[in-house]
Amino acid sequence: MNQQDNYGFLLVRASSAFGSVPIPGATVSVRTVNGDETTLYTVMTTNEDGETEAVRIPAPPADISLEPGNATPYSLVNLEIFADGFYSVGIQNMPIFSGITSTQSVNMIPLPESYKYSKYPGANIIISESEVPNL
Amino acid sequence: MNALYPIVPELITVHLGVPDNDEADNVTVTFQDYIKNVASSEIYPTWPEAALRANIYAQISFALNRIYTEFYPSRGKDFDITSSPAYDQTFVYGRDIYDNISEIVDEIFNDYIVRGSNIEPLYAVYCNGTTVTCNGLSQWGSVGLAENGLSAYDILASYYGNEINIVENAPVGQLEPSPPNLLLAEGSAGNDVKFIQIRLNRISTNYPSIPKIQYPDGIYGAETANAVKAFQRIFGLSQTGEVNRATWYKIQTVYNAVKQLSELESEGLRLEEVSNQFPAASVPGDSGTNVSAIQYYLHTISLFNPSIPSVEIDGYFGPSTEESVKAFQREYGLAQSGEVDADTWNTMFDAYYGIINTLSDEQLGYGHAPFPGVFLKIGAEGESVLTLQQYINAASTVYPAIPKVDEDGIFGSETRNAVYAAQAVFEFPINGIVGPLTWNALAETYDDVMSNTRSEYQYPGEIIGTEEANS
Repeated sequence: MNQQDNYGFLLVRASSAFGSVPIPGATVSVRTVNGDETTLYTVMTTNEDGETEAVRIPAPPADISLEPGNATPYSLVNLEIFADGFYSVGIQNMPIFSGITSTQSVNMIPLPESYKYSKYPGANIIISESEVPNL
Repeated sequence: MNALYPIVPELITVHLGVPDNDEADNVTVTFQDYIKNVASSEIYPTWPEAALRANIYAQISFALNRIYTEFYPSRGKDFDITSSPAYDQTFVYGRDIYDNISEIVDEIFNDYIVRGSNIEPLYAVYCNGTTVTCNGLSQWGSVGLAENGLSAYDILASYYGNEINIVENAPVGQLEPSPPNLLLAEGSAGNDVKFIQIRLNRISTNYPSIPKIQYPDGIYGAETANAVKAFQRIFGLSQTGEVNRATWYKIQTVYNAVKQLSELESEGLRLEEVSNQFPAASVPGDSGTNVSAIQYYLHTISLFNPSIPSVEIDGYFGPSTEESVKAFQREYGLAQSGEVDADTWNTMFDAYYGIINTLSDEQLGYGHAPFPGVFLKIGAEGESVLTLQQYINAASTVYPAIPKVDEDGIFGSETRNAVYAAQAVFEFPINGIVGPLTWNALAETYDDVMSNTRSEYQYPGEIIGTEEANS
């Protein structure tokens, strides 16, 4: 079976204050991870509810995941979410499974006032690693 | 805690490290979100459904056992469970959640395993079954059993013994009132329905794609169903348009979060009064308005940053305020002295001000004024009295026992009678004097009412368009 025939789906929800306030117009970039390299896959924008559309991402066939010891049953992506006035968020090594929709909710934290005028906005990012099960 | 019967907590505090790592953060999340996270971190979402359910039951029971036995608090810790699989279960804060797992958890998050007729949730040990074996559920083993057609219960019984039972629909703490016993759907009517209508309208102020319910009258029609469906879509629930357990709890949770934001202004400081001028250093044991200001900033920041614990704004620099100051200092790269010197004050104000400026007035609270700082009673006159009268009139549309008043800015006997009535409704001491409690209760009701579409219609007590007219 051709690996390209299998897809998982991903959508991103950006909000602040733990879901109280949606972040519309946030930019979400998705990069696929291949070993040490990443490739830009798509860029999306959140709607008035802070949500992107569901994007389709290639993944290995699902039946690989039904037994231990096979090849990795998921593909990996990195995300970066940017919204004006907030710390950017980076998420690395997020697994995508065939036939499964993943929802990534992102809690955006407002920048301290003085950071908004910083010469080096690149420093205003919070990066976290996702994890795959230790099976 | 340790009530007679286990209660599923609304919130759980997770330590992001091994138990003895005092530098690690604690985060507090809803119990559902905790289990969704654990399930997404421990197993593959592509496994057969019976295996997923069996594993999730075990994860729920394990967590409830930690909570019911107060395992970590009894050891002097300030958290319920850790994120470390060596001690508890894998939890990756902020991770993605798989939709199919989310649906299952929404259905069973308050069901758990017990042994026989024991009350205590089962200490459900589990392991992957390949590199680690144990006397409990094998994660890989559950896949094989599910493929052979076993149900979730049978899978669990094969590992934990035939005398296990699954307790269903345990009560969930803190979220009052409890969900109605029946599904709420088109055709339902009553206070339960009005409850969610008012809450959905408040949430829709922040999420405009949720249509407003024009008359939150306690009757569940097509308008209410559409609002529920939109809410379900946005918050990742099945879009049935009907209010089941999971939808009821999610409405509560989101409403509470929205409310907390809107209460910021009423907590005590007007924006104009807030000053970035460093007063004097504040240390544990101090009390006064400087401490109140610090607590107000920390409380605001805590609503946005999960690493900062919230504090009560009581003007006293006690242990919980010190803990919050230290967490703030750690998070923002300052020395963790627990004392508020100039550096800490300035950083705190910077963070607070950044929050206030990033969000709109509407998102922070519908613009109700904070308590004016002076107790209002008969004989008072002015702006604050006028505002109070506006709040009273808004409240009277929700609570018919509160009479309407003339909005003339004069606190006479008419206004005092309305205050008596309001205090009776809110179960406050009935003294006709408006202090912060009475003011805030009226202001919150004003907030809720302002979230609904303005109309001349009276909301409660008047049923619209039924066939119950007296003949």
